[in-house]
Amino acid sequence: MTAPAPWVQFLLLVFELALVLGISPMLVGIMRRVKARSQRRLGPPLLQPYRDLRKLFRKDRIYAESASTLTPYAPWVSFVALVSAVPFLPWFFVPAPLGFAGDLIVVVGLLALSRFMTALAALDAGSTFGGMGSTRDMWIGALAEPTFLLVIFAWGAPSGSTQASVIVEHGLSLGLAHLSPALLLASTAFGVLLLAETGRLPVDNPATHLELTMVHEAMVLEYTGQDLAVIEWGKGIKFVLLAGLLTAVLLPWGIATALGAGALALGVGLLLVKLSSTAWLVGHLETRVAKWRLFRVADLSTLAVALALGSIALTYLVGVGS
Amino acid sequence: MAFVAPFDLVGGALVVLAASGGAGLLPSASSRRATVGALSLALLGCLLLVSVALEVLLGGAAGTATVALPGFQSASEALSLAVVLGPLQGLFLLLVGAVGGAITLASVGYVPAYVHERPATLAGVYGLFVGSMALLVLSGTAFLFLVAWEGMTLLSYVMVVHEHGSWDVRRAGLTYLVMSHAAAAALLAGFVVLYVGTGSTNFGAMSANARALPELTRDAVFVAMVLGFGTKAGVVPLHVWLPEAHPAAPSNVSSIMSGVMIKMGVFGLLLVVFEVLGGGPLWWGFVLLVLGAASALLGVLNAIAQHDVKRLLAFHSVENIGIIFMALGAALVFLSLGWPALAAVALLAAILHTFNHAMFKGLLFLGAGAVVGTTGTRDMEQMGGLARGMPRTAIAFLFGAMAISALPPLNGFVSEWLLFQAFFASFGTGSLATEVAFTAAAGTLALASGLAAYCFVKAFGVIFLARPRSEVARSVRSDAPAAMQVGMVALAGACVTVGVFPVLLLSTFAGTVRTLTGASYATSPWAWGAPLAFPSVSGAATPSVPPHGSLAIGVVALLLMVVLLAAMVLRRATSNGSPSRRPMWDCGMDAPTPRMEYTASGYAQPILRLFSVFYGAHPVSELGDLGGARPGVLQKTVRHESEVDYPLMEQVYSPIVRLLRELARRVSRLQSGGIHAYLAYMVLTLVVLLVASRLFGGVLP
Repeated sequence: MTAPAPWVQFLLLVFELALVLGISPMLVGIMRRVKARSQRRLGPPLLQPYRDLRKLFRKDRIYAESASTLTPYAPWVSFVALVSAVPFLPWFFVPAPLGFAGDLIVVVGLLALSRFMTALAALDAGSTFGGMGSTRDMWIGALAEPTFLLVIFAWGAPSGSTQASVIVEHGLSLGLAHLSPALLLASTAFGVLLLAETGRLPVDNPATHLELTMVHEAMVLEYTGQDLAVIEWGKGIKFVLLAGLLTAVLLPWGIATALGAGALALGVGLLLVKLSSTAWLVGHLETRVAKWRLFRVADLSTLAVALALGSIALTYLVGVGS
Repeated sequence: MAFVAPFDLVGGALVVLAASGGAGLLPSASSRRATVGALSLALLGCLLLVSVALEVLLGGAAGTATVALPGFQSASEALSLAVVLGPLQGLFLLLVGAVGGAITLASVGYVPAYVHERPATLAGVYGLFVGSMALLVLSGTAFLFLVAWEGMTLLSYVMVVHEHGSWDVRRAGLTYLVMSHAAAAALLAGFVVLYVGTGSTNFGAMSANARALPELTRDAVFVAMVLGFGTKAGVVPLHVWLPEAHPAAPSNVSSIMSGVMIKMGVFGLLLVVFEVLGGGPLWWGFVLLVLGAASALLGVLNAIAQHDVKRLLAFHSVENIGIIFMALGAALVFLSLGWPALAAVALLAAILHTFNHAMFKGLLFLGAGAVVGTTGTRDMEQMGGLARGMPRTAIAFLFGAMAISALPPLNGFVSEWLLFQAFFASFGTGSLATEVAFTAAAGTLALASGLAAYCFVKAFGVIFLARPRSEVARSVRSDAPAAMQVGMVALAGACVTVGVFPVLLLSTFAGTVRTLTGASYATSPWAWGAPLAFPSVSGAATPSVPPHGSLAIGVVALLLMVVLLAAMVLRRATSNGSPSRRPMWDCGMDAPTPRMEYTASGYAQPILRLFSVFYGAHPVSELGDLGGARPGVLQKTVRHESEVDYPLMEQVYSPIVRLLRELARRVSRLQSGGIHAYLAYMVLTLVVLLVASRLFGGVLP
């Protein structure tokens, strides 16, 4: 598998960025719609998140009187960190354009950078809600970190690499044997992580209107206008990043390994199918669980760590590289 | 190419540092001039050390040169003095000179501005202290090493108790002194065993013979060294002096102690365990790994519970030393399993993290020093909103906070990435124990780094953001002194530079890594922006599993910059006029006061609750009744108190202290005060020694 020419790589990179930026509001729309439908509501149109973004980008910005100069910039840095994770992941073509420059640990680092910035910004105005959201979000994030790392180890062990592209290529080379029990365990752990990281039920309720129960929403209470737009957009991108990674590793089929119009079209098409089914699944899940008490989230994290460890243990038993 | 021979330069540096001590300590007409003079000389000494280090590291002065000091040779071989300058020494001279230099520069601003009592004395002792660390690194014999070690300990003790008017400071000093001397005793014992076994105190000769020593002797030396160096480095459970001494010392001293001095423990381990003993059995590595993992986790958990900013930073030193120990342990494990190339990766992680921690922790303590000096309190609950009064300190502190939280593209991320890769590489070694241990270690490291980010959001947010929590925080108008700002910017710049171009620093490690592991890595693929990939490490054997991760952090940084630029363009394009300022959201009720903000303790509460086993936290809630008809409904006063215990102190150290007291009480009976009793003791000692030398004289070489 030879890597394509640099200019092709660059085109791929730009296209991937555009694709992720473009479809992320759509996935938020799908989740809302699925949730509404399964609650016997009509729900907003699928394109509503785009309209929301347009509206927010047009609105005036207002900052709290007590906020420092960190407030206007933090959401943008957070957004940039999320967008920058895109070229390190496999979307519809491997090797990923910047796969050589960063592996999944870099992705973990970029997500942490993004969270660090939003959590700081939440403290900036000095409101009680901001502090509450900030400490809860960092708490969930700190507990999610070991899961993420161990899942990377579990996913990477068979191919001996922490690079997403190598993991996917290895998976493709195995055919159906790729779906090993170890992989399923690790991917389940990652699924739990996805819910926690993207602030979905049962960890956080994205639709709540009661400040005391909020995590993410409490952190962004002080924001409006274009700042809130990139925060909301970033939230969608984060979901796409994690869902894209999960589906690429779990079901790598369809991801192109060589350039060709047909292969690429199939890759993009299947990517859209995979992402929207993940959104559909999460939407359904959200209507079936209630929000958990904050301190029970620790149980969820422990469960995820245990699943990841179990997966690594299975890998030992089967043997590495087999 | 070199205009001055390295040894002349190093001698010059030591003389300048001694002169710095003289300038500060000798009587002087102007205290301020003496202070600045002493610190400037110390800065010059640091710069000379950097030039020596660069000459050794870049000039390819390969091998180890030994210069015997004349006049000291004849007395006894055991007491001989020699200095040596090899790649390992070069690295730690670079650490002392470069990071120490930036801290010294900041001290030029800090000491005159914030140290009110005897600033010149502090400056003079500081210069001598830097000199003692340089001498320690240069030591070629165990005797000189121990002398320099003791000098470093005593000089730092003097600086820790600089503000000895307060009982807390004296107590912290005593803890430090006792722990350091227990450590020194362990080192002395270890070196004596080595001397008896190898017949030399010269590290070069020791190293030649130490590998043939009996297993048990080597194990004994290892244990002694871990106790001695581990105490100085501050690894759990030997770290108890660290959270006491760092807050008590003036902040520039905390900065250099935490940034540079505790790294001398790491230097000692590299010198004795890796270079002299040449690694050991598998369990040595696991001992360091377990100590490191415990330090990393307990360090960060205790840090979160603190609301004294310097104590918080001190516990983070414990955490980061833990990370370094984990990497050293991994290197030892790989060495004993026969994977020198992987040991090289773990060792690179250890040394890089040693440098990184020096940079960001030096920076953070300086920032804390500026804040504490300005507000006059170490209690974070009294701070808040300081970013407005001290914007430059705030920005520098933010960079330090991001680096220590291992966020890309800063330096802390690169060393932790290398360590994760070293752990991950265990999957190819075929050793089940190693795979299990390294997986657990990786999980621990991930949790510790997540918690570190938690802790620094708390620290930065509570100190610099939100609204001022006290009158004194509200009245802060001036930023840190100019020299201090320059020192902090230099360290923040170093964090970014090493983060984006780690190759600049990593390429200087090649000689050390080759000496200690036997594996060499090609320098060329490590050029600017090229990935740090494992295949470029060429050693005797690499795992059968194909390519591991690769990292071109320069490309990641470039990508971040480009996307940031694009985002700023979008921000400009969609902006409609300047933003307006309004009161914050208050649920439509009365405007919240700063007392309703989240406090440092409040921020820490979820972690305290989840990990309560490690704290023994006792939250106390008291409700004062209004005395109404139904008690507990209408409350006049509400008091909530949460006390965080330090279980290790109470359950492990207190019994030891009690035991020592009891022993001392018994021994004190010998001290009758009568002169003839003391004469009798002396005669008795002499007789015992004579008999002993008669009996065991043949044992010593």
